[in-house]
Parts: sequence; C-alpha cells; structure tokens
Amino acid sequence: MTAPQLALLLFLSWGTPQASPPVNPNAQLQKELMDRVAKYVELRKSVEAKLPPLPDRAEPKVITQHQQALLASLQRARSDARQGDIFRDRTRHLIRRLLAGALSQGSAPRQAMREENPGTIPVRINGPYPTSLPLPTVPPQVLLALPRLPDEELEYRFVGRRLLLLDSRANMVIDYMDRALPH
Amino acid sequence: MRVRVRPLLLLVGALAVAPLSAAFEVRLPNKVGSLRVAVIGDTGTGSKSQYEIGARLIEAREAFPFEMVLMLGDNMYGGERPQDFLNKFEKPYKPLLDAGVKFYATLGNHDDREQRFYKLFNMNGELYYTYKAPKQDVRFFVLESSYMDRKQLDWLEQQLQRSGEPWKIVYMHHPLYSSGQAHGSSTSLRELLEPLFIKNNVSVVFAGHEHFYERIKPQNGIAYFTEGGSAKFRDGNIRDQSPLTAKGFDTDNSFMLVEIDGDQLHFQTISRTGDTVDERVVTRPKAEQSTRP
Repeated sequence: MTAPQLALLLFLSWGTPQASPPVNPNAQLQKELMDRVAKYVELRKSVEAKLPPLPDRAEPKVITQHQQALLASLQRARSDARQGDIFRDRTRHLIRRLLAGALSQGSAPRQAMREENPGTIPVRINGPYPTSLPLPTVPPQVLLALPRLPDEELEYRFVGRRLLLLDSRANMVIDYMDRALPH
Repeated sequence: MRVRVRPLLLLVGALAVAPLSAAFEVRLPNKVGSLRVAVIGDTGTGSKSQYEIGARLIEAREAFPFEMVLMLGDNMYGGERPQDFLNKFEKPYKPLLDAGVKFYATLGNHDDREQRFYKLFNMNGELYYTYKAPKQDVRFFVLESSYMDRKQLDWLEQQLQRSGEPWKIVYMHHPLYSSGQAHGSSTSLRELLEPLFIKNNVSVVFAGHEHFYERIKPQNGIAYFTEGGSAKFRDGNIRDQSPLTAKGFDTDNSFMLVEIDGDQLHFQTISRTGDTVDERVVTRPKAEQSTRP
C-alpha cells in the first residue's frame, strides 16, 4: 500500500461512523413487550397500594371485596386502554412464531391446549374473565417458549386461538391478540 | 303450616346426608404417632354428594383421627361469592373444621387464583407451596398444575433438593397418569415434572381432575393416585383394560384415608356408601436405595 492509499484509507475510516453492535431482533421485541408489561405492573402496584391490603389469610368477603375494588380501580386508571396496547404489531408476529415453534415439538402440548380450551369466548379489554368458565390450562412447553412475565400475578391464557394477558389478582383482561395459535 | 313444614324440611335435609351404610370399618393400623391424613378432590359443588362424603369423613374421623385434609383442586365450582365458600366448603366439613382439622388446598382449573388467600385453605397467599407434616418425616409439595411456568419449575427443583425428609409427597390438580376418558394423562406436564420427581426421590403423587378414583401401577418407582370424585362424579369413565390402572373406582364418589408410619404409607379408599374400594401399603424405598441418577 502506497502512502497516498494509506492516507485515503485512514481518512475514510475516520469519517465513517462506527457500526452499531448487531441486535437480536427477537430480543429487542421481547424487551419492548416486557417494558410495556412492566409499565402495567407499575400501574397495578400503585393502584393496589391505595386499597386496604389483602392479608395472606383472609375471609371470603374480604377477598371478594378486594378483587372487586382492584378491578374497578384498574378499569378507571386505564380507561383509555385499547386492544394491542401491549401485544403490538411486531410483537404479535414474534409471539405467533414462538407459539408455532413450541407446538411443533411433539404432540403433548398440542393435546393439552386442545383439551382444556373453552373455545372462542367474548372478551374485552379491562373486562373480567368469566368466572363461570374454567381457566384453560397452559402447557409448560408453551409457557417456556413465551416471553417470561415479570410478575406472577400476570398470566397467559388461551381461549380458542386467542391469547389473553390476564391479571389474575383482578381477574381482568389486560390485552389479547387474535390468531395467536396456529390452526 | 309453617311449623309443620320446617321440621319436615329439616328431616329431609338430615336424611340427605345421613350415613348410608351401617358397615363402615377403618382398616388402617391407626398407630400412635403416625401421620393421619384424608384426601379429597374436585369437591366444590355444594351438592348432596359433597355433603355425603363430608358426613363420611366426619364418621371416619371418629375411628381414625386424621389431623389434616389434602384438597386436590376444583375447590369451588361456579361462583366464588362468600356464600359459596360457606355452602361448598365450610358447611359440608364444619365438624372437621370445628375440631381443628386443617385443610391444605391446591388450585384446580375451576378455581379463582384468589382462593390462595382464603385462610381455611392454608395456602398463605401462595399459588404453590411446601410444608412439613406435623408428624413423621414427611414433606408435601403443592403445585399449581394449570400454570407450570419456569418460575414454578425452578422453585420446585430447589425445594425438592433442599428437602431432607425421606417422604416427599407431591399433590396437584392434573394427573400425570390417568385412564380417564374425559381427560387422560397430562403428558405435557409429565415431560417436565416426572424427571424432577425421579431425580429427587418423590415417593407419592396425588391428583384430582378426573372425577373418579384410580391407583396407577407404580411408574418409575412412584405411586400415583387420582382422587377427583369426592363430590363430582363421572360414571364409568375409566377406560377398560387400561394398562395404567392398578385399581379403579368409577361407580360412585369416594375419598381416601392415608396413614404414614416410618417407611410405610397405608391407604384406604372409601366410597360414598361406606364401602372400602381399595386398600394397600406403599413402602418407601430406603433413601440410599432410592437415589436415582
């Protein structure tokens, strides 16, 4: 390499911005999803902090009152919540891919999903999960494939092909996405 | 008129839960110092059959003073208002509760998660938990089988490894093995849980969900029982000629009595009418023999 060529190379490399480290697109999407979930958890905690605390060993009346109060307070606090606030467009694609992968590994998870799925039922954002229905069991293989939720009070559940994100303390639908499960 | 009707109704009510058979014999060793337990599953209907099984439990305790009851989930079907807790739990088992018998519940797929805060279920706000029995070297691990996520799996592994008790007994709602036509074995759960059970020397697993009684032929050295017929009942639901069944009972409601003394677990399964439908002894392999890779 001649001196002018070397000078040109140095000039070009000095002028070129450093390339960003590569980002795993799935990890980025999962992080965005979890950030939105964390925001909800923060809201739920602040709402619950204003209610009388529920003791670990309570009477049924106290449990019922607490759940109803929590549901009503959350409904007020997120009255502008819409479907897709948490399961946004790109996240939905990711979740469908993860679920398809989990369900393609053997028949046991697919059977479990079929057996206890109540089928499509009407749900609405901020609405309660119908207490007249059993909670559909989610096979562990599916839970292990989905992004891990930061709070054990939040749960993934499936009705028909629809994925629900539930707040189990308030028995409330936080968000849902259609056609989450493959046919 | 009211005066006449009321006693009549009371009489009808009393007959509804009156003992159905005079011959009721507890055949367990009933040894001083043993751990005595009752096992019921899929109970929360508030139906006549739940009250009848409740009456049988009360009757059984006179001869066999069990101090705790394991509840295998579906503790409350339908509504979960305060009056449901009363009619589907507190009333049918009132004499037991009054006598200080403790109920330790697991959650089924029909149960609201908030049941974990109900003081008489002794879950202390936990979806899954472990506790040491008041007698004998026994530890129970109570799982939430409708939602077996990474956190619960990690917790279970840690707790099983940490446990020094020779008897490790797991109970949950979904059966890992079952000959039921309605549900059958929960194979997706089995794929993840059974290796942990084998590795950590779990001896016995109780489950509900299927509305009958079934004792499974031992699987990998573990005794599996299903007792989901203590109020709900699915007549004739056990598959004929199932290779899994050691003993099945699907013609009436039932419950189990269990006694642990040293390395032996005795059990007796009793029907709503007071008949013994199964009884055996499970011998725990000595710890050094049962250590599996």
